Amino acid sequence: MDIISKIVDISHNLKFKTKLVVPLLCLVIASLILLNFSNIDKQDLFYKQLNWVVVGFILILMTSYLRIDFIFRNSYKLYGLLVFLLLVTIFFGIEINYSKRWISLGFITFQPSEIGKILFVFAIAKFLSSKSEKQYNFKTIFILYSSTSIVFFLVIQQPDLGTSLVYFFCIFPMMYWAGVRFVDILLSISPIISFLISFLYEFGLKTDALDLDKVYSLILFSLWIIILGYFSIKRFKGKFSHQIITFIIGVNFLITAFTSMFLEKLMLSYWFNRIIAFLDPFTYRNDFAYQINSSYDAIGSGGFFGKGLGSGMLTEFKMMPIYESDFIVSALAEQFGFLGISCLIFCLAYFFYWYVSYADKCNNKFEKMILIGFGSIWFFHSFVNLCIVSGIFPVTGLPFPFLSYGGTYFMSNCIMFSIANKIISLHISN
Amino acid sequence: MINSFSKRLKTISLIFLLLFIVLTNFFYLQIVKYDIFSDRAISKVIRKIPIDAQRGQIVDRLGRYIVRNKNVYDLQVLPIDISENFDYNYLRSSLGYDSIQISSIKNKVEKSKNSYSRKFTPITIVNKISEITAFKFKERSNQFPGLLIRDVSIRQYQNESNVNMAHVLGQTVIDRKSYANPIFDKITLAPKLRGGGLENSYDSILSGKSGDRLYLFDARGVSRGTYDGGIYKSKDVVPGRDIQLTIDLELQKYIYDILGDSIPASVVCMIPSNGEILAYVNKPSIDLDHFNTGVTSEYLDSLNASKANYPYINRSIKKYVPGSIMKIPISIMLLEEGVNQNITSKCDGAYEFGVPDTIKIKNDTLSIDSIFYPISNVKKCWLESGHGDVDLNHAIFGSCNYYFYDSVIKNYKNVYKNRWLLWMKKLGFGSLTGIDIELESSASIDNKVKSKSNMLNMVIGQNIEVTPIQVAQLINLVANDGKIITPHFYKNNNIKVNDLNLKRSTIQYIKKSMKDAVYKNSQSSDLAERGTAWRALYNPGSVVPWTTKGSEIGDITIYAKTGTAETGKDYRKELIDHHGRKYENMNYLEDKEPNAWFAGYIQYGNKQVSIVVMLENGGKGGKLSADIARQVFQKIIQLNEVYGYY
Repeated sequence: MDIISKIVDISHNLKFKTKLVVPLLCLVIASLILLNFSNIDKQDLFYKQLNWVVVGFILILMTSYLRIDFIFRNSYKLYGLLVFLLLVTIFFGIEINYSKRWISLGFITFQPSEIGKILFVFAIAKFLSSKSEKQYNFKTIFILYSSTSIVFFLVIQQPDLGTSLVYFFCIFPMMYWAGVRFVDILLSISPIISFLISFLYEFGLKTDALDLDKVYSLILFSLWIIILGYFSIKRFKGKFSHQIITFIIGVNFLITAFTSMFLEKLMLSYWFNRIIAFLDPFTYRNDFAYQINSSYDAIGSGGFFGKGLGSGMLTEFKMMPIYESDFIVSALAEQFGFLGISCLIFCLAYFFYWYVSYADKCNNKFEKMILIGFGSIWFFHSFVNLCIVSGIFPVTGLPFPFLSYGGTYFMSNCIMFSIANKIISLHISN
Repeated sequence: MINSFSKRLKTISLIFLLLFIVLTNFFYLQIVKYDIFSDRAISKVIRKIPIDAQRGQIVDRLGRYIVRNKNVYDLQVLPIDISENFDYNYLRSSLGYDSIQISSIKNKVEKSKNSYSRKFTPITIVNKISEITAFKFKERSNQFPGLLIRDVSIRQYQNESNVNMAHVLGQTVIDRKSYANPIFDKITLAPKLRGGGLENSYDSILSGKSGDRLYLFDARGVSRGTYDGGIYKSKDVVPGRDIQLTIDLELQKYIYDILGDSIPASVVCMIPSNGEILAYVNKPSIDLDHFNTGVTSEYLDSLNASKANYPYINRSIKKYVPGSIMKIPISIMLLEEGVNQNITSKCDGAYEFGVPDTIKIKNDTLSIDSIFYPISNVKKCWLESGHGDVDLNHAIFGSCNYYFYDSVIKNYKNVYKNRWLLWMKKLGFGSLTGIDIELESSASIDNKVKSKSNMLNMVIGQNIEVTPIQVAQLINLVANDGKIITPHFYKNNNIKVNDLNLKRSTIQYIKKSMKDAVYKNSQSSDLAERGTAWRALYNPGSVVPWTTKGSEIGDITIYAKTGTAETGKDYRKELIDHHGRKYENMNYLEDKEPNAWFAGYIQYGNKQVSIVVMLENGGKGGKLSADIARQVFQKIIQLNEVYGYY
């Protein structure tokens, strides 16, 4: 009895913030409508998703009784559980479509990396909240990065680029809101930026006959080094400052050089094809750029008002692969046009405006970090998904929160929402 | 607090900025580039399924069907629908396949059935099966789940026109543009391009325009109904129009049947006043039905076996040595050039050259002719006993060679030397007649060496070649008082008339001579006095001309000229068949029978029908070809009595 009361708070009175619930309900209803009417042949998806919605609601109710301080106490253990589950996936996972992401428990199949986002946020939140702003230094950042890297590499080897990037990017808003200096964050991720710039440089060299890309990339790289130098000098005033600055810039140069040297091997990797498809979709329209081209056609042909519900020909005729999950926004855009997309983005803007406002008012640092972590996960998912379907980013498998079809993903979102809702409704009066 | 507030503001600004960028991108895709993407989206799901135009039918001058259409069938299967019930055994027995063929079909079906992309794509089992076989499959549709039967239109020939009009109609072939998915196959019945006959000449009328209908297909290739509206329009099919020919099917068939199988022949019947072709018979002929559904090698071998006869040759537009037929154009020339027709020559059966009086008349030196033609050279008339004194009239009806040799000698300088080519061209031998079927040969009426000795051959129709259709045109010219009218099969009123403005007396004279060739002393046994075409008058065993009984449609008169053309020993030593292969045909080195010609026309009331009969190596023109002409004339009169149509 004592143990149960430590975990569960039975006296909790469930309350919802209308400003957060309404946009999410809109998304869920839109999802159900799209799944029901987009493709007559795939109406079973609607019923499955309906089941998930019901289960999700029950899950929200159940999770709302969970004690936050229980989570706080066990955050690091949960992180251990995450790593354990990911290791289990490597050895005992089920392989679907050339990637090993799922574990079967006999009666249910679930994706640890999906649930793991929540556990990961707990651990990072606890770590960040265990120190005050003044205690943050490069050691803090290093610990953060190492614990992220472990999860990141465990997920990316499945392979699952999309989810692993979620792990990677959700720590930056949390660091920023916890009070880690912006300059420190920038300097700490400078090698990655160098890597991307050198990548552009090499790619420009290979594609453009005029080598204009090469020139632009060199200019970009020089600018980047200047900015880096400026921030380094600003940050390190004192002993060993020369050495530190030289080290940072040197590392960036080396990264660039190595990337250039090993680019050939890099190009053979599976997701490199996706990058090429992204950079030149029309040339490869029947190969790996098929998805993005179908998405373009579906979105573009929607026009302002869309083709109407159920008349999205590309969606209906299965021209668009996986329209129900990753590309559901394309199905929405085809059937409801720019108007529908505007509504969707308005929904998001409204939700995040109020979500950030509420998070800002939270006084408990751990809880605040959880809110920011979940928010950044949602934002990363929705924003990157929008960018992928509209061709701003290369294709990686990232579903849209509360809109895409998918059991585990919907469940994890429900849990996240339930916890966030509990924190907000407990500590923030309005 | 201020710091915290600025964090919130910064975060929200960043979120709004990023969302705005995304929204801009959607605006660009959906509003700015809407036209391009909607076009691309539609073109992704729309497929054109062709609808073949029915080819026009061909009828004769009375509206009787010569060529109609019938269907053959393509058998296809849709792999997704094929179940275990599919009766491969019946398929095998009805198509006459062996077990290897059937198992290969089976494999293909099974493979496609398991392929995600191909299981909705029909597989062609066999093309062009007959209606009966297709009907059997239709009857047993429950045994054949997934079987698709597609109609393919081909030609159906009526009244044996597949044989007796093969050269007129020409071959048709199924032109199939195949695609990976056979429902997109474009199947049209097209004329054979070279020597395609009327099917080719009037293809623009007959073929119509194939249309298409737009269907929506999903990613797996399953049809989702038709597409209408929007920027893409389906094309309506325009069926081919029927054409009416000038041919009289009954006459055509009659002539084909009376011509024996042994002698290659060409018979052309025309109406002189308007150039309509009533009958156009070549023998031997090919069978178009064999080419219709795909020619078998056995049939081609059987055609090639009869090398000497060449069934492919369209004989009526191929050039032959005309022989005495040429006496008509030459006589027209002589009369028009003002040569006195009443001056006689004394025919003693042979014409000797080298007599000083006749050759060395001019300047006491040897002419070049005397070198090529030694003094001893003798040219014979066909009647070795001689015709006696002959004028031009007698020379035509008695077909006296001597008279024409003499006329060359007498008139070489003032007529033959410069006027020959001009007149031959004027009378229609210089160019193609313009008949509306292809591969017409041009006549050779001109020997490269302009000399008297060549002229002596050409004047009796040797060493030159003309086509039967040109001879028919010449006969028409005589019959319609000097007008050249393009022979044609297509019945329309746009006829081209070229009036030569010949003297009325010339035409009258020629007509009289041609009439004399039939009637003059027709029962006499004196060959010198008797017209050469007398056989056109008498039925076998009868002594009364068949024309004398008259007819309710008017008095019957026959005008004619026969021709017997020596084909010589080495004539056509080199034979070229339809593939362009050359043969040294040793048969032709021996003496062949001459080509037998009969050219004339029959007049009844105020109507005329002309005829040209040419029998390749058929013997003397007065015999067999005149017999054929007589039978045809009788048939024409009989048809007129029954139907009264020309």
